Amino acid sequence: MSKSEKKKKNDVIIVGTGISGSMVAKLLTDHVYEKNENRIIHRREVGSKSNIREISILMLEAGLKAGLELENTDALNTYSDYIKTYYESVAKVPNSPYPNLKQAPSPDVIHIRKITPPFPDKTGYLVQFGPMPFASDSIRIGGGTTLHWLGTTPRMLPNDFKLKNKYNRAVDWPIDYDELKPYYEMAEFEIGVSGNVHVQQYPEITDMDEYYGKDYVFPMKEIPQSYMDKKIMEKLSGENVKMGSENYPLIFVPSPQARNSTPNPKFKNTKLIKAQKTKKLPNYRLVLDEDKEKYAAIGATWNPYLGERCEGNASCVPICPVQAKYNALKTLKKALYKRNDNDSLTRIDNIEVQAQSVVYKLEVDTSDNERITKLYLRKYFSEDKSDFVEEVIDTSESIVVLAANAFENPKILLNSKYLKIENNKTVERTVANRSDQVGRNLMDHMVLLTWGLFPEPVYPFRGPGSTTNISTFRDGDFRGDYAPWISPLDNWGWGWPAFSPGTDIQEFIRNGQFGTELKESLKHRLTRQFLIHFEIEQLPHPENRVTISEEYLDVMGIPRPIVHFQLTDYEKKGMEQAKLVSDQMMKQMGAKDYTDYREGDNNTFVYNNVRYSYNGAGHVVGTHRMGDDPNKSVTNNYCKAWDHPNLYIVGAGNMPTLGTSNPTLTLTALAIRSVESILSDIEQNIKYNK
Amino acid sequence: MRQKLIDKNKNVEEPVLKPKNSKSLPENDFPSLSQLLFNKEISIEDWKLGLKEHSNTLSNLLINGDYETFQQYMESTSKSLLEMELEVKKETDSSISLVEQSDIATIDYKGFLQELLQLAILIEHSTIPPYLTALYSIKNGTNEWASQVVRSIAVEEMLHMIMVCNVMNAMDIQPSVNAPENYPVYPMQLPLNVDFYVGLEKFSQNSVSTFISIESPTSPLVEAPVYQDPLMGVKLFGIEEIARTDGHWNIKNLEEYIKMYVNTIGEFYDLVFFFIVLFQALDYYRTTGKWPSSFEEINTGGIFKGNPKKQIRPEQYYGSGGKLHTVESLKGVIEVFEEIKGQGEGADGTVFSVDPSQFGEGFELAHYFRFKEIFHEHLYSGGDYKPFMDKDGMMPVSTPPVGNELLIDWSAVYPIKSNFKIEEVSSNASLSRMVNEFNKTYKKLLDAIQHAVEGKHEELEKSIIIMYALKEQAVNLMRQPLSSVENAAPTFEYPID
Amino acid sequence: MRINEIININDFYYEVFMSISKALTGFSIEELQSTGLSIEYYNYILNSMESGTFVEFLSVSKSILETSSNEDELKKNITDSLVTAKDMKVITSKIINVWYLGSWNGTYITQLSYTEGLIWKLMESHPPGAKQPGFKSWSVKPFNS
Repeated sequence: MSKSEKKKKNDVIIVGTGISGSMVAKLLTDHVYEKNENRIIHRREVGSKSNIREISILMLEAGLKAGLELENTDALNTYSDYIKTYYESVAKVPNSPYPNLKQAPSPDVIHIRKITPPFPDKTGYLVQFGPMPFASDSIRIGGGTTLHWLGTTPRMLPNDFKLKNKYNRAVDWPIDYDELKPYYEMAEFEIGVSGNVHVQQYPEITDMDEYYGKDYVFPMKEIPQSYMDKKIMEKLSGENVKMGSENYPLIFVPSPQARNSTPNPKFKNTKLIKAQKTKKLPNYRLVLDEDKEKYAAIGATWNPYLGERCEGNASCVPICPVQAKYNALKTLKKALYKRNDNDSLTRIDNIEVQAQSVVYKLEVDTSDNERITKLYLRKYFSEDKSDFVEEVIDTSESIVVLAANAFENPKILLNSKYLKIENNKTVERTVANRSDQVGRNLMDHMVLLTWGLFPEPVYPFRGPGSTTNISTFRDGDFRGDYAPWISPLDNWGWGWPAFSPGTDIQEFIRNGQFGTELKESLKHRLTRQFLIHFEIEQLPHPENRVTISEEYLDVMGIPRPIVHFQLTDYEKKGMEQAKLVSDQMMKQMGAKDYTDYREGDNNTFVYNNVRYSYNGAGHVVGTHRMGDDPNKSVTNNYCKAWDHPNLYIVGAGNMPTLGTSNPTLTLTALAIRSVESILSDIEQNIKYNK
Repeated sequence: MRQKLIDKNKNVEEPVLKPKNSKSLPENDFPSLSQLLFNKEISIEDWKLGLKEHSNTLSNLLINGDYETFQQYMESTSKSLLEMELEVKKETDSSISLVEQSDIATIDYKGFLQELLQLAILIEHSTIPPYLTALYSIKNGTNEWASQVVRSIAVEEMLHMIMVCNVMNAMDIQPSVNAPENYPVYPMQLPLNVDFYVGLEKFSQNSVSTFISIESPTSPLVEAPVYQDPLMGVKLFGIEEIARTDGHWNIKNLEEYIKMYVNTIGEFYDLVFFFIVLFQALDYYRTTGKWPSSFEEINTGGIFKGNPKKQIRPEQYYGSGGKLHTVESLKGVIEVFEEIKGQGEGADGTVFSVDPSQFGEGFELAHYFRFKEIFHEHLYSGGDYKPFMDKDGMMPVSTPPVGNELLIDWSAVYPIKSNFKIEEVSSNASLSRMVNEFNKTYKKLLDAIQHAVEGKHEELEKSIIIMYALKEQAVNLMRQPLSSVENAAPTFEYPID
Repeated sequence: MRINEIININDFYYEVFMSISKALTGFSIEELQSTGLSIEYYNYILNSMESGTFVEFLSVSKSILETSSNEDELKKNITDSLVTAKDMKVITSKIINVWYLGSWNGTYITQLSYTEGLIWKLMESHPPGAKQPGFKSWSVKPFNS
């Protein structure tokens, strides 16, 4: 094992090229330091180029180098390989198109097994102690898990930020909805959200004008709702269902989505997110400003004219073949390429992305205000070989941003121990972990699926994964008692719970059908399938956590995440109620219910004598929560570690609670907001080191 | 962002400012605009030379936004027109205006422009089936880059067709895209002065070299396959004679002119543009009694009488690459023609300036260059063009790409029969039905466009869905064997009921 | 029943394979050919099975096709000699499956066989990730229905 030390100093080192890392990098490289005025300004506001100093950035990515190709044929070749791998995979699970690297392994749903405590399941990357297996995956690759996210982008609801105050459950966030609102707008612009603000309707919010802002529009118009959605709404819209003793009207809402459609002329021009100096801490404030050109959808990284609009590939998860669905490579490209004087894109040289580099440890200088002074990584050379070099990066003059995801961030932190003298005694400390909250409060949405046959053809397996959701149960007083949920209607038949259409074919063949008869049976079955999700909020629980141990290492000798995970009655009762709602909807639609939960399912339990099974939602959240109190949270509300002056931890791990929204939009808003504080720190560093 | 290779700094040729009223022109010279328009005595040769010169000049001035020179040009025309009238008055003592007496003023401009613009539609249309055939013949999962290039170009051609319809609608001229006579018959020669034939062929070096010729800014650069000419002697225009005059301004002369002088699609649009400006100027003269002198005077009103509601707007055709422009005035016509010319040939003239940053994104290049990238199996991006550059940093437009390698698998293509016709499988009922089903779907596509340009815009959304269905049917056909060596193919013929 | 003549391949058993596949799947010869993979499927099965079983299957199929004089007879003979026959049941269901899904024993036969499964067309959809039907297509009935 050889070892090398990097000499070059960077202003910022970002670990991970997923959405939070790329977003931070993009916003930082949009700005430069103005030497005369000693402050940071947006690139567009630069007067004389001789007065500026670029912000230098190093990004580290554990995935393959090929995954970072962003131009021309190279980018296309990498992406085509993903698509081919997807075609060839029999189990077309979310991670299936992407390389599962032994040097940077990823949790994969095909590795989930039932757990028999006290023995952990070690089939996959995660060491799962359970008692319930953690049911979601993620992927370590250029662009991160946004490569296979579905792309649904609802904001969180105002009450989601104050569960303790409102429902006496879990914790409140250190910021409220109004504080986050401008950053939601920035996230919706950067990601490119399609939707109609005016038809959004949520419980407990009477004034939708206030929620989104009166004149607010998404960058692009609504993604059309599916034919199936319309058929279901014909039967159920305006109907009530009973929950407990109360009646609830079913509210169907077209989902906002990070998927290209037609630009909304009312959105007008494309926007700039630019920093303004303010008196108020952290002394920079990001604002949205009009840019020169009309807003245009961002197509594929290799071909701007491909994927300018969704083409209905119906494979958003695991892969959008035309990149009409947002992925973080688009933002990464904006971080690396800027418009030159000729209005063409040029690769800028103050940002470097180093692939195949697995960060595993940080080092602290206790004599220097507990700064992070070193970052350790192992760099491998090829997918096939397991040899690697050890690399140590001096971070004493840099700001370190961990953006590696909610498994990797706590894993790196927990693996970073340092000794400190306190009250004349040497004690061992863990980086950023004064609160003992690193790795804790791991959350996911529990996805209860119910499925059936509609009385007439609804032609499923077409369009984006989901285009409509039922928002009725996202909020309400019942949250004091049991979990709320959001109910997306799923456009892809019984593919998820029952592996249709393959299983249907086998079933009918087994029954001796062939020829025209077989054709008719299949046609009847497969054109009527529908599926409803009930995405149940899980509350943070300190014992649902990621830890590490010397006992479980990957091929490069880096600890694997150990997961302890279980449900409480809060979630179980939520699922019970959701199922009761589903039963009523099935009846009202005149549908035949095919929902079937079995003891053999991986994630299953019996509650009040009834069996329920669920899936993961891919929402890996909550392992480095933000808060107001350094003793109870890992970071402040700008995602900055309480314990270190130059460490930021960004991503879904920041979220204190989950709500009923898909977390990506919210984590992106938080990461954008963290840039205000990072810019302020950069300014200080430049002044100090001059 | 598209026309990166248009050299905006290129000097337009000085317009001819010749107020002289000489009845015979010096050799190798051409008449001034006033001579061309109002002097009945110029020879047919001078008429053609004049038409070539002035259509080129006008389009160069206005498409490059040089309104100042345009104004000089029009003012000098106006001045010489006055001088001509004075002279005529002296000789004949007649007070009838020269303009009103001219042949050109008696033309039914709508009919005239309809013929020209329908020809534009045919030209755009005739490129679509060949591009689609080549595209569909590429086997799935191979040649992705090339497929995406050909696909986006084919879609842009469709966009061009729609924009030509916008131009027609702006002038209250009904476009037609789905009638039997709108169908190109392959192999065909573009109705211009070209020596190559366009056919329905598989993706190959042969077909790509033809595509390069189609999009060529100058003369064809690569030798194209030679076919028998089934169209020899076919008339370009449907109507025998529009203008019943004894002068040069008739369709017959125009047809001759196009076949002799119009070498590229770009030049064809220059000619169309010339006539639009001309008829607009004549209309201005009729209303005001004087020849227009500035762009503003002829930009709006006049022959732009169309219903704006019939315009197809960008949001109705989003996501294809390329821009869609609406037309409500001359300005809109300029935008449309600029877009069409820019996307096709890119460089204006024979050279373009070399700035490596222009080659950053392969998909920003004009069609001509993108086809050359495929043909030469290299991208422009990443190449060193110093050996091709002159002292001013210019290089010939025909310079091959020498950048990053682009691997093409010319063999991963269905072996389809070229210029296949439905009659060839008349004895095979099921295959014949498949071919006809394809043709019905293609007709639906044209119908959707036709309905949309007649004002039912929502129909255009369907065209996108039909495009995808078309591909599936085409590929299914290309997998049906005709013999041990050749497969069937879509025929793009008018369907049989 | 007629054993369909296949134009481009001179192999009688390939013709038997195609004709019996037509009867087993309910798809026409043209539809089977439109997968672009019929020869690949034939060769793959020929090479991947112990040769006896597939040859046996083809010869049973041949006699079914030759002895059945109408659709009803064909149906009955297929049921008796292939679908429920102890030694033919498994291979018959695999052959139906390969046309519908493109897979054989849990793997796709070629890189394209997933996208060429006939099930997608039958259910008026398309293989997820391929043959996309275009913007807004999902919000209306399928193009061909």
